[in-house]
Amino acid sequence: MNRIFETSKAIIKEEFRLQLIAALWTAALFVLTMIAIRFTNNLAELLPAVMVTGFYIFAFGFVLPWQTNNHGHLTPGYCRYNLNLPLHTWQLTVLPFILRLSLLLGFIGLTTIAFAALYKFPNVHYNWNTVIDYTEKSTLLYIGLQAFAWSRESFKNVFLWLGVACLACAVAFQGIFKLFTVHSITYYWLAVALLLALTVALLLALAFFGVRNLQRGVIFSLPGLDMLARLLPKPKGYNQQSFETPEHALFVQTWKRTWYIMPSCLVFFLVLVSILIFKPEYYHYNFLNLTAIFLGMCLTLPLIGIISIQRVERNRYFYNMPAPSYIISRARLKAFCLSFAVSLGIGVFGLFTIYKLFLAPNLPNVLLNSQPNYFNQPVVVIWFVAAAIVWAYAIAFTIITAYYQRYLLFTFFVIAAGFIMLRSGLMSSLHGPGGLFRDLKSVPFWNIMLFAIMFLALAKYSSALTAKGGYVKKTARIISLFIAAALICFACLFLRFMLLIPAVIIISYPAYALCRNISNKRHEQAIDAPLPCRTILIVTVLFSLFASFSYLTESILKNRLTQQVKACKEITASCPWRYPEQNIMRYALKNAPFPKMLLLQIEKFKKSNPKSNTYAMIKSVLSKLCYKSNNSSSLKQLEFYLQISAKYASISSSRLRRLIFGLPALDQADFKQLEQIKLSLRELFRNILVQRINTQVRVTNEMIKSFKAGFGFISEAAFSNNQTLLINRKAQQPPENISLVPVPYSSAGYLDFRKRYIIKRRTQSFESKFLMIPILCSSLDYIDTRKRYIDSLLFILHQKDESKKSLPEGKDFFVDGSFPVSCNAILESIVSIANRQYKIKNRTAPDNINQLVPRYLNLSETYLLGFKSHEDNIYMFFHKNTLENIALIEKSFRGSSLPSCK
Amino acid sequence: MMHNIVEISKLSRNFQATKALDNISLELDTGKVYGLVGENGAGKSTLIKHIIGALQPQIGSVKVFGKSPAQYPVEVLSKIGYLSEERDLPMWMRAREFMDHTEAFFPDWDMGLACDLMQKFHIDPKLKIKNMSRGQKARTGLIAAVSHRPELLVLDEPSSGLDVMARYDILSEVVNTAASSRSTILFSSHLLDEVERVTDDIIMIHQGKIILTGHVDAIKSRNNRYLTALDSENEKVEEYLKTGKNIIRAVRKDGEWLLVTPLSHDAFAAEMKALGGTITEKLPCSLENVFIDHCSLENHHE
Repeated sequence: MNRIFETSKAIIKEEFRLQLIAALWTAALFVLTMIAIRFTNNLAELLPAVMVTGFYIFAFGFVLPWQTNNHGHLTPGYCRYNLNLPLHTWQLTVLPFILRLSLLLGFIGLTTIAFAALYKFPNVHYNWNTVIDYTEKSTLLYIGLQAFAWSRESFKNVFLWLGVACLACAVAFQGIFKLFTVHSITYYWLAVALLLALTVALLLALAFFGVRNLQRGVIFSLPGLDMLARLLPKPKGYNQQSFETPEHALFVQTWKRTWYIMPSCLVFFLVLVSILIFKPEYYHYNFLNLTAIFLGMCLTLPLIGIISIQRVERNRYFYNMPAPSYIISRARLKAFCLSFAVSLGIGVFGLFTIYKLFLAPNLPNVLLNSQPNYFNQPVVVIWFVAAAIVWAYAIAFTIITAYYQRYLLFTFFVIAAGFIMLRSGLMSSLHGPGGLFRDLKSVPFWNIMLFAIMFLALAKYSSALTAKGGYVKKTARIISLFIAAALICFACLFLRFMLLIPAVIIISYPAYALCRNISNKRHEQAIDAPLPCRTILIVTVLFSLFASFSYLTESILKNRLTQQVKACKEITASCPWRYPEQNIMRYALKNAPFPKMLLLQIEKFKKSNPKSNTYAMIKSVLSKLCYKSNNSSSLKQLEFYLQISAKYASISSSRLRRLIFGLPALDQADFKQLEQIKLSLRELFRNILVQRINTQVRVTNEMIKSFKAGFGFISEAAFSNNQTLLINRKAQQPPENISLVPVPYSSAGYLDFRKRYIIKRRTQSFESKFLMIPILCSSLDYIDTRKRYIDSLLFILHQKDESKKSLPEGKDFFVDGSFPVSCNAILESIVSIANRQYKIKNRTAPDNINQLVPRYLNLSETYLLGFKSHEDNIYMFFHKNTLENIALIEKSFRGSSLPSCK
Repeated sequence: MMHNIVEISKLSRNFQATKALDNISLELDTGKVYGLVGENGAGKSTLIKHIIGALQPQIGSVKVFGKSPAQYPVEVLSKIGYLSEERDLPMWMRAREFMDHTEAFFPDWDMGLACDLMQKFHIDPKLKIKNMSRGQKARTGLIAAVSHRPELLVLDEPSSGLDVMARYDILSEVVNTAASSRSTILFSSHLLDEVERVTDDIIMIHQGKIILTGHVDAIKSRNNRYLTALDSENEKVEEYLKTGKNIIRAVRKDGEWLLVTPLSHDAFAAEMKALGGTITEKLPCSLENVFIDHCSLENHHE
């Protein structure tokens, strides 16, 4: 007994030592990542943190089954030495299992504590349900991998075993679902729990017997599965291929050896994240965030690739070949880049597949009907592909550089950390708005990175090309290179062609860095790694081609944009609602069906909140919360969400400094406005949602009545405070068969397409120079949409000849995908109520019921809601501040007053 | 006309506190087979790594074919065939792929020879190197090393851990290569009998220093082993054994002294007579004996 205790203690001690290293590393990385996210993101941006938490939990589950073998290498299996020790199988299986599971659960606990310390816990995204969900899945993942790792050698074709088991489980789940869901949800969950328990038990048994077989030297196989395995196609013997040059031979062998590592890792992460973490409703939150996380994963691939390159490097055989170092490095970089390109392709395809398979079916139609015309142009698509490859290579090369020049990596971190501190607004808050350091905010983050990389690349090149001198010479050289790098970066801000210089230097430098690295390892001391002239030449040619192609595409798009702007101006000139803003205001005040005081209040509110970012942010947060609450139809939940937004209520000057980290773009004045906006919006939303949930039908009735009574007198156009109502009433039609077209006056103002705004917008910053084509495309799509908007209005107002024809189906209704979710929900509910009303009134559903599906027109800042019966059309246009407008409409329909904006 | 393929001059190498090579000077002639022998950690592999350019000399110089192998790896390595002790082969390749791959680096590669050798050694071209036995790996490495008919073949412990058949194959091929292409061969091994069988000249290395060089027979002839009857109590004898200029090693054995000396029988017998002793028996000498006599801890030499 004492002996068993002693041996068990030894096993646990060894296990703990091995796994604790992995655990500590993962925990440290997790905490660092969380802190980085917390202090570089808005407080409300919980989702990235949730995703990262999930990622680490699953990564932890993935890491645990790995063990060091006799050679000290990590392998997914048992160390052979342990198997030869006089130990019981349970000691070798159960003890590590328990310890590793404890570590896993401990890590999940740590993540929860870290989350709670940095964010509010529980919250809508990360709560006890999520924790339980992650615990279940990561445990299952770990146990599955562990069972596989321990049984793969002693159970022949264990892949097939597990595949068959997974298939059986899937079928069983489906069967259980069919059997029990209808009758009782309790039975269903009970059945699922039992099945899970059975799966875990089977996996544990597999692991246990796997180790026992290894101890006894038994290989277990099932004849049927063996036969099945024999039927599978066997790999071809070998590919007899003669190589013309050493570079070709090295490239092919490196490629064969390493190409699959990056893509397979990416596929693994994509599948893991998609299935285990990703939920379709996250799309509603912010797809960009999720895309950024996916891309972040893609960008970590070069590091994995470097590891694969290093695996090749370990083999000294290649160093003993009569090939110069630069040939070896070039072959490796080629293989690396090609592998990265494949990964990128798989990543994009994976994202597309996930979007189409898992996301799109769960998204409202409004988000899917976008018509990005210019983004679909072949020239632009080609440019996108070229840009993706060039940028991806640039990133991959930069990471390689950083990896082979460790101090460079350190420099990155120092610069990044320093700049984040600056960027987070600390300096700005100390010096106040307009202070000395205010302009630092506008300096792009990666501009500094660019400078750092370029400076170091120049320094390395310079040291290779010039003779070594004394300290004075060295210092002078460093200073001159520093100035040169700064000048080039500075010049890039103004002269785009200058970007070619840092691009070529940065892209060609890794070839040099890797060559030096190999050269040093080969002790090829006397010959310094030669300047990669061929790489520089190729990169320069490629970049020049890319730049020329970009320039031509840009020119074409710019010309097109100018023409479109001109055309729109011409159309707009003939529009009856074209007024200067002041006139619109005056006109609106004069003609609005609402009390003038309310209009003034709204205008005051708008004028007092010129910082659209602040406003948009609060609106976005609250609208999302309201959308969620609307979906759940639960006031209680709404209250809970509003409590989250109450975080802003607790902002006080004493806590300002701390909160600045979380809300970097805000100053003290912003916070005061934020508070006001928050309170007013909160009140507004509360009113809207409470009333909608409780009195939907009543409101609709009132709305219809208001339509009839309130706006029936307006024949062509009327302006409210924030909207223009164009009512096109058809003669001799029942009152409900009217077309209601509220048009925002400010949108009418925007119809004076401000050419300068469109062309120049967001094209001044440094990074925008890389994104000029997408910006131009977006501008063109924007203006194109505007044009169609005008056409639609002209059509509605019978200003065009085509107006005599019916409105073409599906042509004049489009969205650009940025329709606020809350508006969508609110409008959908209005439409559904209206449809219901229609059905109630007509007793039966119309034949063309499908046409009642609402359609939306998003004009960036204006939204058109249309729903159509077989005879009549009803259109509603809303301004970007749709929420207020809807509230305004609803309130006015009910005759109540506007909510306070103070 | 013979000329030096390898010229090593005053080569020293330190690995932190350990002195791996200590002031080594060496010249290897064309067309000879050299055996590099020494105990573990003597510096054999370090010396070989300097010759193939895998290590840069810290002190001294190494020239192979008149050039520094570290400075001109392409020029030097293209004339060298090298098989390492660790069998640094790309394990993921199949045998034939490996040959195709290696062919790209050597303009004089003879694929016919490679195929013949693969056939001779029963190497399955489809077999992955990682799945080969130790002997097969060594044979594959040897094929890759000799198929471009190198001017210098460097074999670092080629038969380490191999069975008799594998050793035989390798040695035969070394002999064939030496005979057919007049290559210079540097052959390091622990197995002194096989070194003795194959090599012309021996380079014995001990604690980073070359302690013996020359033809095997010459070395053996300078390593005469005698059993002698000597009175140890005699001060003269004691002094002779302690400081004896002509004594390589002296070991007490069953009441007699085993003395190893470079002297011929007559000369040594005369010395013994002067000391009051006699030669009781002349023992046979193998290379192993030479090695032990020079490297043993009981060594009285130096």
